[in-house]
Amino acid sequence: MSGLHRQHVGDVVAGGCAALAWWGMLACVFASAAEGDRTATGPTGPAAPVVLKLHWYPQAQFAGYLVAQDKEFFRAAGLGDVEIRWSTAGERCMDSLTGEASVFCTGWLCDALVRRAHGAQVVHLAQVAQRSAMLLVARRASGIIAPADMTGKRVGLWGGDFDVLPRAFFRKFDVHPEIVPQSNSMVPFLRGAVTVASAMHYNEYHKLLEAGLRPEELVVFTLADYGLDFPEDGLYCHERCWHEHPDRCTALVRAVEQGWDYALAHEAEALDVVLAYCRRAEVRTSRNHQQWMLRSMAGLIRNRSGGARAPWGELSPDVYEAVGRELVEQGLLDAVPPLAEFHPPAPAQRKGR
Amino acid sequence: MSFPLPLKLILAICLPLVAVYLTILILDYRSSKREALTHMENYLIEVAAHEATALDAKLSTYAEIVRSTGQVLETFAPRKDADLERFARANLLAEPQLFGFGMALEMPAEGGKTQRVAPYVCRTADGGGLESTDITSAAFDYTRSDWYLLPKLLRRPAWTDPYFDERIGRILMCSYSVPVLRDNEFRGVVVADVSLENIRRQACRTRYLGEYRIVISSAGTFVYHPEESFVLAESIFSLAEWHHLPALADLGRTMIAGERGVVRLPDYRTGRPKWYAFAGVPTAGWSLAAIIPEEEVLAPVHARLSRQVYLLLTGLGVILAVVVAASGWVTRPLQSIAAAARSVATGNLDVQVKGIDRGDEVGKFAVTFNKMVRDLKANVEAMLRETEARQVIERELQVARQIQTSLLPLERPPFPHRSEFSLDADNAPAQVIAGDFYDFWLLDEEHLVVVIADVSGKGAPAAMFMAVARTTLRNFTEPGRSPREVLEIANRLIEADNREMMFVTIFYGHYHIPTGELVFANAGHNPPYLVRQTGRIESLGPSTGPILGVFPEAAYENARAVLQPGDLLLLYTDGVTEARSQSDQYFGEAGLTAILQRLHGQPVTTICRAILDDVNAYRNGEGQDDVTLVALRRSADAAPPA
Repeated sequence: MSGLHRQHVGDVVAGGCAALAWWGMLACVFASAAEGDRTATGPTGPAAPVVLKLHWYPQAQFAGYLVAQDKEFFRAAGLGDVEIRWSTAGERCMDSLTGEASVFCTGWLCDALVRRAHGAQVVHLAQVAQRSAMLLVARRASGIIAPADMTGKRVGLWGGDFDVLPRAFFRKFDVHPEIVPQSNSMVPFLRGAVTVASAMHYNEYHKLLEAGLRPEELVVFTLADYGLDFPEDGLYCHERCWHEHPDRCTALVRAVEQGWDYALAHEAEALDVVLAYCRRAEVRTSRNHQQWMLRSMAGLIRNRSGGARAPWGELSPDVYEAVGRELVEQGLLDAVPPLAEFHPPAPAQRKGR
Repeated sequence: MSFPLPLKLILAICLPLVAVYLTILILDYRSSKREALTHMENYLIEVAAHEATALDAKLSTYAEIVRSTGQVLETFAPRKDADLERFARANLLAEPQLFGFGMALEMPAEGGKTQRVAPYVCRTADGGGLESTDITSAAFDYTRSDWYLLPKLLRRPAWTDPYFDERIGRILMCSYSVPVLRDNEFRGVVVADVSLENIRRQACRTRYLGEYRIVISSAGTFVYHPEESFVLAESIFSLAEWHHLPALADLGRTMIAGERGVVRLPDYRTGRPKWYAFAGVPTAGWSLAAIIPEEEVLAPVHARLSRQVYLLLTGLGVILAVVVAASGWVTRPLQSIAAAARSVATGNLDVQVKGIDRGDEVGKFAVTFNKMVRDLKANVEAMLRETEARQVIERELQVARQIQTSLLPLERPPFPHRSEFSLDADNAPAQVIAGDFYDFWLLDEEHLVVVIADVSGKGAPAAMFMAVARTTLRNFTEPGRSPREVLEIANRLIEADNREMMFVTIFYGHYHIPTGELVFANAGHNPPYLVRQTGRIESLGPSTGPILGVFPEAAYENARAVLQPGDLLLLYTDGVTEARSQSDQYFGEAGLTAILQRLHGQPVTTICRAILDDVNAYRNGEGQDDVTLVALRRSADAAPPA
């Protein structure tokens, strides 16, 4: 079962210490926020504008970032102009962390961990989504009722950074499906070109409902329920960025938090903002779908697995360890990088050490 | 409750009219509505089926081009990439409605490897030319596109759902792609792109009434919707979910199942009913619906209804005007007649209703009314004249009465200085003036003349006759001339000029005061009563001669009686004894003698008053005949006759 359920008392104590360290970092974030402006423009002249690369097209999955931009929380946090960029299908968002000090990106924890373990200098700044929203979906009529039923069946997987989790699922349950590429639409699944499709609860699952399928017509494998509750969307930067501009990083984290707080508290306004970005990016979507997505995201951001409330942005050491252990078990990692490297403490704390 | 006549007419005429017309209107509206809806339903089904077939035929045409290219590529492997591009260009030139054409093939390369070849040609933004792209060099992985994946995985041709081609065409489109299979090995796909603008033109090439169309893909996504922003963004199910309309979702499921039908659903925005007729577009797995708001269908019915209501109201207005005018025509004369009648009631009899020169009932009524007023006026004037005349006569009668009264002895009590007798008289005429009279005067110191008379008839002639008789009696009464002689003289004189043959009854007597002896002659008059002091009542009858004034040779006798001290002589006229009660009983001599007995010993004035009062009471106030009384009593202390 879930790695989270197999925690030892020692893990809990260690986790507690790590949480304290994390809280210390947050404190520093707020303490140093006021310096943000100076840091961004710097005494040596205007710094390069901050780029925030999001790992998909504009949609409510990124409402917090878009609202932060729209309500000028980034500017208020001293980050100056922040340029938000989108990713397209097949694009690996974390590839944009090439060492430029002003580039930030979003991405999934497991992908970042695998990259870190393979030498990428990815630094985790905040864990926005506390849970996994990834699903594998089949039609009930296909006869698939358990993971093992997928063996030999055609399963669509996304490319990019998004196949780590389902592959872990297959390995974990010793499933050997025929894996085929999945487009960014659910049409192949709807047409029966694939038996099982990847889906995010906040997005593709609802698109199936918007294609006329009833929930009872679907069998849904929520990967989180199969011990693979890997927190997904998080905020990352290159290690160099973190070392050179820790204040900029903390300011960004604070502004994103502020954006999400606002977006979740003002759903209609946040949807207006999201839909405006969609229109500008020529992404055609319904308000109905974006509302579903925003509400789904709210659950992912606020609650941990099991329903406990999570402090915003926290990467729980327990969860980190559990995810790492799972990835090692699945052979995707040789060893779990130390949390302090993956998610280094704030500068003040480093001094403390 | 009383309504004015115009209102009654309006209610009586208009209410049934309105009721009948409204009933017709409602029935007509219902049947028109039913007909219109049935007609629309049939028509809409036909439109949906026809347009879906037309769209399907168009898509089939495109599909055929792609399929034939695919078949060619399955048979002949092209030698160069350029051949493929030329192929694509030729297809685009042949079918101007295709937006793009391409192939994505895995070609054998040196070393037993395969090489990806993906030439793509599409129309330039201005639509005038064609441009080529090698999509293998594009930044995106086309093998993860639906147009590539669907035929590859399904091993058969497939239409994609609509999508936005963000990299090359930058338009909304959908693609049809066929797999290229050699030796049952997947070698790639041939794809053609159709712009959604093209679909829109196809779906909208005709439009009837207020009808519009939608086209949805097999996933329910709008391929075409008049609200352009819905295309690709919304699906029939997203609208159903957002607006909480499960019926719309059911419709969507029926549509994407490729079925045909027609349903009536509330509009997702306004809630007003709309009719959806739908038919499948089997080539692409799409569905086309022709939609019409019910209000559009019913607009002509409603227009007709409002026209009819307008006509009804106009007709009603005209009828009202006519009724008001007609009732005015009827009531206006009646009102003037009523006003005239009110005026008449206040006493104005000069009023005449004018301007009603009509031969109908109202006209006749007005003429009659005018005649009535004229007659009334004439009558009233006659009455006034009569009253005036009567008043003159009455005034004259009053004067005559005064004169008559003045002829009778006025002094009360008469002869107050004579204690030897007491005398009183009274006269109550039945009319203003009386035919009776009484008289008394002293002939000399010892003789008192006492007269009572009753002239035949009543009123003025009797009074005149009475005046003549009285004057004659007075003139011819002389000392030494006996009552007989006086009456005979008077008879002769009166009879000589009595053309009217009136007559008078007279009791005429000479009373010798010292002795109480009464010498008298009675010309047909009621015999007086002598009431002795003892209470015995004696009648001084019978008459001593005939009535006076009729017979020229009438002769009269003298008669005598003696009044002892205390005796009472009562002279009376027949008005006393012939007084009638309401039950037609005469007062009679018995009534009179009863009074005399009752009032025995009372003063003469009291006796006269009492007899008059009793007679009046007996005849209940009715003046039947003159009543005259004279009472003479010899004083009790007078010396008895020598």
